[in-house]
Amino acid sequence: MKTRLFKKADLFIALAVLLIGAAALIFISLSQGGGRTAVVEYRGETVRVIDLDGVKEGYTFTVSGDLEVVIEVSPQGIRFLSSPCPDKRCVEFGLLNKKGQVAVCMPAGVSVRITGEGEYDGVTG
Amino acid sequence: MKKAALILVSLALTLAVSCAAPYRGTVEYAMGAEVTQTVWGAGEDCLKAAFDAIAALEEDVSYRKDGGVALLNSGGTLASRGDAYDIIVKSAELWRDTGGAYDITVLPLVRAWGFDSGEPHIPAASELASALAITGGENIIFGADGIRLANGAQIDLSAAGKGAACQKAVETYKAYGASGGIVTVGGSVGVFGTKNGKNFRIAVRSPFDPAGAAAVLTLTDTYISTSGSYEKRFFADGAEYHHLLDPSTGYPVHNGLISVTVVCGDGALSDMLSSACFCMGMEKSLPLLEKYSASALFVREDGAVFVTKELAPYVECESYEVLP
Repeated sequence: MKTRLFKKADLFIALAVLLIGAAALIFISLSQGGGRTAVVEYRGETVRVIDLDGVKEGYTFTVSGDLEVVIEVSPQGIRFLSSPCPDKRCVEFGLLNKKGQVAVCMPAGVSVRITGEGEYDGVTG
Repeated sequence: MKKAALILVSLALTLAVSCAAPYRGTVEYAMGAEVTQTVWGAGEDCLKAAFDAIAALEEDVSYRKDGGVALLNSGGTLASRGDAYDIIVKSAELWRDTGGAYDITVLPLVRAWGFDSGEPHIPAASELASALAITGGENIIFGADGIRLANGAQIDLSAAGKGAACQKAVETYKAYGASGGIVTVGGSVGVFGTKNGKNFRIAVRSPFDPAGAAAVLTLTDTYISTSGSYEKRFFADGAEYHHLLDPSTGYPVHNGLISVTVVCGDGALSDMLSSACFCMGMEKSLPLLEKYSASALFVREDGAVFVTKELAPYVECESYEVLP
């Protein structure tokens, strides 16, 4: 008598498991990978969301937080262009273009961060 | 067939749980710094509870608020155990272990330099002398009825608060059953668990390019804090002055270091040790780090990077030297 190693139902289950696994992997890569998005916030409220990979030409905009700061967006990234704050640390951060980077103007209460699963999960310093 | 279906469902569930999507919070503000949080396997309620815990800590440990530190600075006695009390006890021990290089009674010096006001300046000699006269850990008195300050001393727990805040957040993530989480409070970071099986990648901010990284650390279940002279500084009379003050001279520390990053299993200590090591310099820091089971990454003013041997396996950096 011939004994089959696999029944038809077993093959079906194996196929289903493989399909679920593949779907999960695609879901993860879609939800975590993808482009770089810059999120501009004022005291925790989102002011603007920018698809950095979709920027073809540079532009600036003003965020009226506790102080008025000017933010510049370009194909190279995003940065605080100017702020009337005393220490100018926000401007010193320079260009942000890597996922995980954060620049903050504390006196204005305005932050810019590049979201998504990227090079870093956090920054110390 | 029933058994097969059961296996199928459990496999699918395992996949779903192990690949939990991250929940990111918005940037919030506490401890005079920005707070960012991301958790895996938990949601908004967890992040809200974590932020509430940070805010409650700030109330107790910030000299600008109305808790334990404010009570001490106004001449009162801090009798009850709490966050401020615990950090002061740790600080007193570190003050002894560093021969006074780490000192929480520096608030009058910080004020003399204007680093608390955002308008820093070189203080007048008389102002500096008055501030120095009441600076010193010996002015923190531990009595039977609690802690009090002598000699008009004033304390500032800024060099511990952000690290302690990270630990508050991580403790909340654990209580909510999260599988992983990362919190940053200013320059301090807390990491716990994993992000879908991977450890966390922490960039050490480059002192020479604020948007760049001097190194990247891949870690979990620990706390990371950095003290850098590039953080708060000003230029006057052709010289640079920064906020990391030597409690013995009242002047900014100059020993060739530009930044010190400390990794430690205790949040407040990671923060405290980064300040202490910056003030003590690289060589004297090594036995201190060993005593507190901590490790560190030093960046010198000339850009050279040095890493303690325990941390070396977790460091990515173009070029660095491993310390003995």
